[in-house]
This record gives sequence, structure tokens and C-alpha cells, in this order.
Amino acid sequence: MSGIVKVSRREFLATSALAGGGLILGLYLPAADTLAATLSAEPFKPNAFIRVGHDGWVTFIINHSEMGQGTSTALAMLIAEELECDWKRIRLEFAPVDPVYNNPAFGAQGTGGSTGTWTEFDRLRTMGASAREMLISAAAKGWKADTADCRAENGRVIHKRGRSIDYGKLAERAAKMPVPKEVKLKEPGSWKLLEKPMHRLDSPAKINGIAEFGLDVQLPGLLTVLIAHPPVFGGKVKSFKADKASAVPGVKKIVQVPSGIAVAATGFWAAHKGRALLEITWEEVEWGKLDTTEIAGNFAKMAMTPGTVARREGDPEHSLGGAVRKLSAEYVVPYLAHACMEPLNCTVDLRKDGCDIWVGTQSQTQDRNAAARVLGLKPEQVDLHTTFLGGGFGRRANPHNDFVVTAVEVARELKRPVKVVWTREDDMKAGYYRPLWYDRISAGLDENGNLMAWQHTIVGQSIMAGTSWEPVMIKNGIDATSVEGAKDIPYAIPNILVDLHSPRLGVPVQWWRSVGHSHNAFVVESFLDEVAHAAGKDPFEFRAALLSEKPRHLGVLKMAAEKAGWGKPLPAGIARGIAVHESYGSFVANVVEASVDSRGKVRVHRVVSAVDCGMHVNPDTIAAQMESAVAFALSATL
Amino acid sequence: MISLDVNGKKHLVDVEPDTPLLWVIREKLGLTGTKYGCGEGICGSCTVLIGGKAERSCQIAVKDAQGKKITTIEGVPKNHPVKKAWLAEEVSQCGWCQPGQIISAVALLKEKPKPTDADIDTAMEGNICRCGTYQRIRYAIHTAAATPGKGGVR
Repeated sequence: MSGIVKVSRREFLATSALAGGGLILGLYLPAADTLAATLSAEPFKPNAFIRVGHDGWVTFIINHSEMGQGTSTALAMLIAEELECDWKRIRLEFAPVDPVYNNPAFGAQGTGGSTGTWTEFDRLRTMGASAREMLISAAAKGWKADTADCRAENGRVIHKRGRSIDYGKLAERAAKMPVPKEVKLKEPGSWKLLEKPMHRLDSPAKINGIAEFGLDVQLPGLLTVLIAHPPVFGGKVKSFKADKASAVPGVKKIVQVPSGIAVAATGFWAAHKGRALLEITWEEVEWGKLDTTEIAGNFAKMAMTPGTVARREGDPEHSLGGAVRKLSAEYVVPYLAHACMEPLNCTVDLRKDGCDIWVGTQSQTQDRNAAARVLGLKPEQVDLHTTFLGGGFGRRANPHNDFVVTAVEVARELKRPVKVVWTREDDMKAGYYRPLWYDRISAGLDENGNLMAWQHTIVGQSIMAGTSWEPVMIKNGIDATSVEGAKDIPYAIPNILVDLHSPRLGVPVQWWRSVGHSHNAFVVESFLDEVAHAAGKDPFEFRAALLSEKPRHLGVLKMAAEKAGWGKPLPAGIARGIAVHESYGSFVANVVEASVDSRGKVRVHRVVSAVDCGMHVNPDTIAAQMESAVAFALSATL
Repeated sequence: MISLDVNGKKHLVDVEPDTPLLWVIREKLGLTGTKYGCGEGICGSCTVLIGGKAERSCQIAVKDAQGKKITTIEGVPKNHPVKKAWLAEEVSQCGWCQPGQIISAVALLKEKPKPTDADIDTAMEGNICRCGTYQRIRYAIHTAAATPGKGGVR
């Protein structure tokens, strides 16, 4: 491409600002396989999501966080489908914080809960169509032609008699065209990109090592900071001695902050060595002696008592009491770290009149506002720049903004640019976690092996309690996320009771990939297998019979069974299992082939997944997400 | 001063000699494609080639890397069969571990141009991916192996 030069990120920011594109706060993300940018101005800015340059390159502003789920490519596909731009001349930038970039499902900018694609499906296509119409109008005006005789294709407007013009040449004039009040979106049959497996726009930068993640941000005079976190959750520093730590070459400053002792150094290694030499005495804390065995023991006792009722159908107690065959099981799943491959980090440049933050976050508005609150600034004085996220899984949408708040607290003390880094050990030990859950579940069968009663008691900490989401998510004592996937089991059972205990403990808990579904699907589907076994029925047939009113569950269940060859013989020692679940509007069934060796080690040989997620945008990303979900689930269960 | 040979270029760096090579590459040379994941040599995110072998740069003091030929992800050509295969199979998700994965795959194919699944699993088991791209990593290595020196099939 002519006119492309290699520029550093800083140069790009400066150039873009000069070029009149407004200061670009997001990250420059090259769609091509080089870190290259045109230096042309982008005079056509039809809306907050699109800019078109003189060179015909288009920039899409991506308002959801790219953490591997492929959202940046899917959102670009939505815009590009209607804009009719050249897919090979697309740049992506992560959006600054602004209400226009709010997640429609949250009323704030943020990524999570499987909301990215469906919430943007109409909005971004409309943005693309609107810009396309303005480009067509500009071309028609220049040609003194009727817009009805012009169409757009691959970054050009084409007249029916054959002449055509590149978007870049139209950019200046298109900016002067009125924004159409209404646009007609393409019919699904004429889609060129949507529903096609598209290569990800972020892959080239990632495999060449030039995608910028939070931990990769560099600034002049930046200090790297490690925090000595308390050994016990909620612990406070009583006193500390920093003489030895301060003597480490490269260590510049050691200060106390609310979350511990911060060691600031010229690089990671000096901060790491310094931190190891701190001598800290910690206060005794309320939860200091608690351990997970004790927690599970307490939860087990609670599970024997009635909790707050989340769902009641029929007369479960009576039905269970009178069952011909009754069975019960208890399940306990441990606290789990998200363990993103990129450890948590946040970079802050605090000045008298404002603050810049670079962070891989899923929660832009709340993080920005929390930083402003801590610093005594107005939210608009804080510019938050979203980088790539080296994994998210919910951890990077912390309801208490922990990794951002700590970083601005450190910046406030040190008065120079800081990058606060969590080591892998910090990431695992200092919270937050998927809660430990204890489930007690019982079922009653009649004389024909029909499932008549289901009683499920769930015990675990509420992830919403004490957060800004509490008023929305906790109703009548039930945290909706604690019971999702358990309260709404799809099976036709006449008598159902699901109840909940939400003990308060000092262990910091948070949503974890698929939230309540991750543990409830495991418990419900595991127990349903026990019930099928007790009834002497095939687990696929047993489920199918209970799902006759649930076509989408049944659809994926049957497809997974068929594709896996359910019922066909397997090699000796290998067995099959099947499960089905719905979460966030997607229905998934899996058939797993597994064996157990003489030492009790489980080996999974094959997983067949069927997914019905309704309308889809990039099928290859959906396949990748299913593969990813299987690996993530196995990491939690094996 | 410590002298390093990284991606065919000589660098003189002023660092404490016990600093892990990882942090020198990232902070002093500005080559941030080499990632920190655990600092214990367990996750493989920091993998670089040293004399053609895949090594964990977080476990090597910079003084011990002097005089050796070091290649980071930025030094693997963009048209390398492994990188092309990584694009063709669309391996990357979050992307944090992928530079280390690619370096390990490059080293594997140098040693075993036609690896079996078992060879791949053995060579790659020290590279952890939280997104779970393992299956596509295996595909990509097979894809790269089918066309050594000629680029992957797309």
C-alpha cells in the first residue's frame, strides 16, 4: 500500500490528533500484518463508531473489550456489512469512555454477560448503513446523478453506467451530507460477511507480538510497582520496615496504600526483589483463622436447613416424602481463580489537572468513575484507555474496581507515572474468586421411574451483595446469579423446590466465566445422570423425555447425541456422558467420551458440542468459543 | 554493561546481572511480544529461542544469556510457516500466550519436521493457554509441518 509508514503508537496518537481526527484515546490496532498506519486525515466522521480517511481506510471504534472472545471482529463485521467498505482497509480502535459507547444492556460501558454481539447487532449495522448512504449521496452529487443509480461496494461508490469512486476521495464531501433519518438494512440473504467464517482482525498483531496489552504499556519515567498484599483477605498493615527493600538497586520508593505496601522501582525485577525484603507486621483480622475445610463444613450444615425459596412448584416436600424411590447427593465445588494468562495490571499517569489510565478492563465506566472518586477529580478529567485484555473471564470487571483503585492510590502517593503489576502469585492469592458452592439435591421417582420431585438447596456467597448491582440482582433475598441454571431447570418435573443460603464471609468473590451457570449446570446435570441411572433409563432418553416442551434444548441434545454416535459401541474402558444447558440465550449440549485409569485419573478423549445460539455473526469464533469453554470447564472439573 | 544478541542485533544493556532475561527483553529492549505469565518457568508465555532451542526467559539470568543468539516472537519472520499456519487455523484468542506457543512450535519443527500428535503434546505441554486453544495449536503445527519453508496453506 502506498502512503503507509511505520509509526509508533505515540507518533500515531500525535499524528491523529494533528490530522483533525480528535485525540484518539483508543488503541491503534492494525488490521494488516504490519504495524502500519496511513497518515491521512479522516474527514468523514458520520458517527461515534466510524471514521473514513482520505486514503479510503476506515477506522471502527470498538466499544466492547477484546479479551479473546472475538468481539472486535464481530462488531467490525456488523459495521462493514452495511458500510460496504473494503475489509482489507479497516483499522480498529478501542473506544474512549463516553455514554455513546455504553453497553445497551448495562447502561454503562463494559463487556460481560454474553451481551456484546446481540446488543450491538442493530445499532452498528445502522451506523454502517447511515455512513454508506452519506457516501453514496456525496458521489451522486458530484456526478449530478440520482442516488438510486448508485450503489456501494468494497469501499467504492459505483454508478450503474460504470464509473466509480473510492470512499477516500468522497470522505471530505460525505462529511457535508445530511445524516439520513432512516436507513434500510440489508436482507439476510444479501449478507456478504455476516454468518461467514471470517478471519479475526486482531490475529496478525497478536502472533507478531505487537498487540498492546495493559502490561505492555510504556511511558517515560514509568515506575513498576508491586504491592505486598495482606496474607489474609481484608488484612491491614500494622507496621513495616523497608530498610532492606529500599537498598535494592532500582527501588525508588516504598509507600503504604490501603491495599498493602507498594514497592516502586525502575523495573519489575527490582520491585520484585524489594518486595521480598519488606518486613511487615499485619493486623489480626476477623477471618484470619477461617479455612476452606471449615467453610465447606459450615455450608454442609446450612444445606440441611431450609433456605430462601427461589422456586416452588407443586408440593415438593410431600411428593419427595411419598416417592417410591428417593435419592440425594451433595456437591461441593471450590473457590476458583480466573487465572487470566496476563496477570492483572494498571498504568496511571496522574497530573494536577487530570489523569490517564491504561488498563485491560471489562468495566470502563465504573473503573473510570471509581478512579475519579478516589482522586477527587471529575469523571471527565480521567481518560481511560482500554488495551487488549490477556484474558478476562469476568475478573477484569471487578465490582469494586480493585486493580484500578489500587493503581490510582499508588499514583497519588508517588506523583509520577506508575504501572502496578500483580504477580502470578498475587493474581491467585489476593482474590477475587468464583465462590465455593455447596449443593444438596434430592429427587423422588414414582413406580415407573418417572421423576416426580426435585429439591435443590444451594449454599454459597452472593457475588452481588455489597456491589452496585445489588439492588438490581438481589430480589427477595435471592441473588439471581446464585440460582441461575438451577431455578430455571428446563425439565418437566411436577414438584420442584429450589432454595438458597447466601452466607457472608470475608473471601472476596466475583463472577467467573458463565457466572452461576458454571456451577449450577455441573450440579444439575451430574445429578440428573444419577437419577436416570436410578430409574434404569438411558441418560439421553431420560433427558429427551423431560424436554418435550423445550425444543431448543431438545434440538441441541439430539444433535450432540447424533453427531457423537450415542449408543454405538466404544473401546473398552471408555464411557460416554451427556449434558444440556442454557445460559444467556444460548443452548448447548455436550457428549463427552472419558475413561478412568487404575489410579482414578480421568482422561477425556473426545467432546462433541452442539450449540444453538440463535442468530450468529462469525461462526468460526463461535466454534472457537465452544472449544474454549470445554477447556475452561475441564480446568474446573478435573 | 551486558551484551545481548537479540533478533540478529547487538544490544548493550545496563542492568543488574541477575535480572531475568524476560524483563530485559521487555523493559530495556522494548520487545513486549515476549510475555510474563508466572515468573516460575511453568506457563511458557515468556518462551524465546536461545541457540534455536525453546527456553523460558523468566528462568535465565541476563548474564547467562550473553554471547547467545536469542530470537523473540518479533524476530520470527511474518511469513514463517508457523505464523502462517497460526493465521490459517485462527489459533489466537486473547493472544497473551501465543508468542510463547509459536516459539515452542518453531523449535519443535526444527527438531522434528513431521511431528506426531504425541510429539506435539510433549513439546507443547509446558505452554499453558487459558483460552483453551490447544486443539487449534495442534492443527496449526500439523499445517505448518506439511509445508516446511513454503508457508502454510490458507
